Amino acid sequence: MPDINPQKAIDFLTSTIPGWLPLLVVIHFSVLGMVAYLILLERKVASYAQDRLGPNRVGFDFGLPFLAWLKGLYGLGQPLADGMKFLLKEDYRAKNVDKVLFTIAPMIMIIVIIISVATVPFGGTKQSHGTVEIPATVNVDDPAAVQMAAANAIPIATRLVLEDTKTGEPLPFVPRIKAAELSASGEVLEPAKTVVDVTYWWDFQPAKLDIGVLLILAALSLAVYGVVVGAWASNNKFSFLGGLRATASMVSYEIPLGISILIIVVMFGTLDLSVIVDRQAWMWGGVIPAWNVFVHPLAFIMFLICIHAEANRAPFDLAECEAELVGGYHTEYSSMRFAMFFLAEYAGMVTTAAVCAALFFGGWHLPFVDKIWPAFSGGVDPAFPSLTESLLVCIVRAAVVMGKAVFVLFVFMWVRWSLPRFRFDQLMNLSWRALIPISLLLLLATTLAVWWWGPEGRAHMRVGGKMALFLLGVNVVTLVVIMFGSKLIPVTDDPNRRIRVTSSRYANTPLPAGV
Amino acid sequence: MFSTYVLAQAQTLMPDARSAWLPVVMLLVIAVGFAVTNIIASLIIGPSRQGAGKSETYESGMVPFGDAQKRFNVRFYIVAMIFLVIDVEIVFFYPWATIFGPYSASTDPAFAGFSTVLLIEILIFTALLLLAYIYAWGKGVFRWE
Repeated sequence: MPDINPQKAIDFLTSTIPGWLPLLVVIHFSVLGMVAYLILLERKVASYAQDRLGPNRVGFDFGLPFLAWLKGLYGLGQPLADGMKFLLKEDYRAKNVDKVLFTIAPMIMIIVIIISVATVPFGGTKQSHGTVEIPATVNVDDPAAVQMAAANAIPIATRLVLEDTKTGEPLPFVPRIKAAELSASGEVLEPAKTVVDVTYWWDFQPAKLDIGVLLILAALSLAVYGVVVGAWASNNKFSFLGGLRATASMVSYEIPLGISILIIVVMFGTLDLSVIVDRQAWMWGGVIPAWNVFVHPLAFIMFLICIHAEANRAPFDLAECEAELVGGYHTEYSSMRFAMFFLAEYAGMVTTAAVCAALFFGGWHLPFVDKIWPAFSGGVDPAFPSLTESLLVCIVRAAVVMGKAVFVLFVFMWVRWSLPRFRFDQLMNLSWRALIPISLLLLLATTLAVWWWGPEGRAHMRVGGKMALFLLGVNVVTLVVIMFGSKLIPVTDDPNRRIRVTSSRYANTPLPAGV
Repeated sequence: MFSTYVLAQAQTLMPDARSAWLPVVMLLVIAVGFAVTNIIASLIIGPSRQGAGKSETYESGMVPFGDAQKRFNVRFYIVAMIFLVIDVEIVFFYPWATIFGPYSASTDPAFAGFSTVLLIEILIFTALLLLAYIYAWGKGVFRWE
């Protein structure tokens, strides 16, 4: 039973929050800024796909003559203008809506999506050395007390290292007295104090959690509530139908999404995304990067399909297909409340794309860069390549992760303008009758491979060459069997049959009373 | 050693004062603040004009009849139920997955054969899951038209 001391809690909050707050505000607004420019990128990709120019007028000149040189700029001012316009529009609420739920729904969406960014790993771990002061009240003869005091003294958002990274031996925490600093005239500038040498790690990740993957899955699942509540509260038939479809597709694709993540988790035995990245950061035979996309290409494709469906994007955007349902679940929304649904959709894409980069593209790892720049692949501990002593390496790695995420985001847009929309029964069939059995099959194969290879060829819990080849073989065989074998299954449904439409003018069912 | 496979990193200490969950909670607070501020700001800044037809529900210009919050197709209920059954079982896989890899990669003789036990357990569990899945398939839950 931990002792709960209110004063201690207040001390803790006042000492830690000022350190964390700027960092997290920066993360929050950089995600939103990225989302704003993502919308511009989407419009640009759309325009080039359709052979037109897209937004290219709004720069940063604000109509002022001395800023005329900032005019145009390929439409880079567009996100700012969009944001201003959202804020200046009327936030209208129709008379039939459920007033409380109508406001809460977009808030749920944006809040859960922002939380899901918390455990995305960006740039590995930076190792620093330093000397920290031990308060005079600490008993220096008690190693545990010295450790705790040192852990309290290191900078915010870092963790204290207790073992030597190479040998695994516990580090000695030997306090020593630092003599008082005197000026030339004998005045005491700094009194003598007890100090201890420490090594600490700073993770380039908003929250270092050992259940990172589960937090992301949980947060993304909660986004369904935003859709359902918003659709229900709108009291609009289009919203309601859109919400039903969105919910059904989101929950259906959550299962294959969960299983395809589980395949990776079984191989690496951890839920921590930064550790998953770390175990991919090496090369098979020095030639092929040990990324999961080369082990499990089919699982990657399934993951990609599922994150499209989770984000309600084309070709799975049944929830908001304009021709049938006006705007789907956000038909009744306007102004900032609508903007929140919009931001949440794109922020969810950013998160899932970054998770995709971490799970399947080795996060920060790039092949052959360490030949030119050895520091890029750590160099501190060969079993732990994420660990580096250079801040520059961490920043470059974060840029690499974002580059990979932007590539996945580009795929989102590419798909949107390349593929037509699915029909609803096709959507449900793809998930329940195709993706779920295939992903369970891959999970079974992965489990058996992990069991069969055991300790051999799995140094540092990495996926060895033979195991990778076996799993790649399973993936390719499954893919071939699906592509050619599915043609052999007799088609029982006529795809062009007429579907009875209840209450339409072609059906015989009577109209509701009072019409 | 088992622990070296589990961790594959050195042991580190985060004092309770810097619990790993603090950033998540603070991000939650920031996000709530962002959402509330924005809604209030757009209510204050934006115009507010009422009109006769404006407060009607928008249904593509048709005069809306009846209420939208009424009964809907039962298939959506069935999908939700099957989702619950399967998704809860998928969640049970996660804790198993985090220990199965480390135990199977462990060279410690104390854990020899333990991964086989874990494998058989999960195969029984998956078989039960598949039974429910095949039953639902046979009952036509996944047949949409």
